[in-house]
Amino acid sequence: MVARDGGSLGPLVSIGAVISALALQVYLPQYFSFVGNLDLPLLVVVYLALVRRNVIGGLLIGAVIGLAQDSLTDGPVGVFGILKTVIGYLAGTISLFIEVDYPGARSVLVALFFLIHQVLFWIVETVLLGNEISIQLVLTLILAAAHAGLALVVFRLLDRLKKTS
Amino acid sequence: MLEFFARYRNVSVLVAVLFLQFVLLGYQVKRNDDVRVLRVWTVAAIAPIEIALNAVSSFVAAAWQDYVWLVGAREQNRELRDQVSWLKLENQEFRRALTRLGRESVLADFQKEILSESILAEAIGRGSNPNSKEIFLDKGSRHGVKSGMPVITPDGIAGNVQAVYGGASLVRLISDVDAGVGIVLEGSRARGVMRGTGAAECRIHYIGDENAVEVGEKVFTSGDDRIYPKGLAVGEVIGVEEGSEFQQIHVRPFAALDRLDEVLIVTAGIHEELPEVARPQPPEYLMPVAPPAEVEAGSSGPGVSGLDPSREEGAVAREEEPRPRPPLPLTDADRLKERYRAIGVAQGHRYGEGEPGSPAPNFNIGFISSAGFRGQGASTRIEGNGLAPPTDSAADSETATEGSAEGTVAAGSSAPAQAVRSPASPSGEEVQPAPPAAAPR
Repeated sequence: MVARDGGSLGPLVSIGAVISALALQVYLPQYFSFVGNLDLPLLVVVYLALVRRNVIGGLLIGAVIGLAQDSLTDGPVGVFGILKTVIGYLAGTISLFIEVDYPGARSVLVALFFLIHQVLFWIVETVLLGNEISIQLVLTLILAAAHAGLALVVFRLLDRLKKTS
Repeated sequence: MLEFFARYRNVSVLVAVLFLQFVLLGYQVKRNDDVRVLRVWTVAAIAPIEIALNAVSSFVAAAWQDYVWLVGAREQNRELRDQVSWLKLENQEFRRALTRLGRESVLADFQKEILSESILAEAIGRGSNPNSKEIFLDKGSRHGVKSGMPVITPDGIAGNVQAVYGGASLVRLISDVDAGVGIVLEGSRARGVMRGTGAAECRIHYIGDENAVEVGEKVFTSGDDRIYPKGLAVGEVIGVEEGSEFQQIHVRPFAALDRLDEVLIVTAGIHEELPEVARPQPPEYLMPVAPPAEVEAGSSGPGVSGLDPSREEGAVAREEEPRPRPPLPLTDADRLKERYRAIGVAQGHRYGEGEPGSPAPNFNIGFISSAGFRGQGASTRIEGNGLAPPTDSAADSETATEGSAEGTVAAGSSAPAQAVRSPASPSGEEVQPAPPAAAPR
């Protein structure tokens, strides 16, 4: 995987990042309940899609991570797959048009993608599955900001892996 | 068509992927089925990492708790030590209370068991005189305690109240040298006085050497001292020494006098029954046992020997039958009657033929009788004193008297001594003492 700045992220590191995000998403809420509101796989999807600057690659990565995330829930498989597929597609598309190596731009994109992710989630749950859920706007905005802040740390860590790999 | 897909490749792939996932989602919702394979693969990939994370976090947490995060551990350790000390003290207090409850329960049972009225008291101290055996109790005049009241335990008596104060009383133990208790021995029922020696054991006085006292024999209060009610356990004989006149009997009190805690103060003493002791009873004969030959000659029963009630009943039943009875041994009355009859016959008197007013025989003539009257093997002889010379009839009567006397002696010599009670000898008679060999002890 070749990034625009010349760095590369090996497939093993990418797979490791995906699996680690999924594992932490399952593991950490046992000890820190507020972590359950975060979506670590979403951050990984956005990062990989932005770094690859490949739309199809981004949407496929999003589909795989989304389906894996679905597999770790008790709901039907495909909900997070659809959401992450769309997010991967959007991130890959945007990465073709704007510079996303700046941390500020990445954070804003992450917050934006989180909001899109929540809207799509509400649509899928309500329209397709018939589950009535409500969107808590304030909480959603706070979580969007939290994801933006967390993305700064995670993306920096992944950038280091990219450079050393 | 291909050109369209080539031109809109990204969108086409997106639509295709989304379509597949919609189909998958719709399939699951409609069929209510699950994509188990995908879940198994995902869990298989995630689970090892979860296990590793858990192990690492546990190790880190343990290391942190055990080796790093020790802030307050010293303080906590000190608090726990204090807590353990308090708990130990509390535990000892509970154990002591439990033991005390057990003792008080035994005392309460004993209190109901005895006839005397009593109140429960607790020993709160020792007397100040080291040479005396005294204790202080927590009950005094306010509780109805009076001087002289006995103090007892379920094991045995402990002492009696010497001085009474408002809320306490001083008790002199029975082991004190000035203490005395009227006692009775369980086996021999011999009565004496038990005095303290200042040591653990006490000593009984005024029990004569003729009383058989055995080691291990129990000692009870006799009630003679008018302090302790009769029948309370005192102690056990642990040693007996013969003295010149009285035995030296050592007694170990039943009550643990050196560690008294709870006791009963008897406020109204009532005598108890002394325990019965099963002792072998020696056979007692009302009459001398008939010789075997006579028994075989007559009825097979012992007659009036009184040895066997069933055989006695058999003898009574045989009396109803007209069968000749064997000559029974003479009693003292028979022998007295026979003697007077012989005196009368010797003087020519015929009993039952004299008219009213006719002279009676002189029974005060010289009449020498040996201890045959006592039936102890000596012969009886009648001698004249010059007033009436012996005649043939007198000789006959003498012979008869001798025969009867000897018969009596023969019967009496084989009889147990305690069966014969001799009346006072008439005046003018000389009663010779029985030979020592045949004399009853």
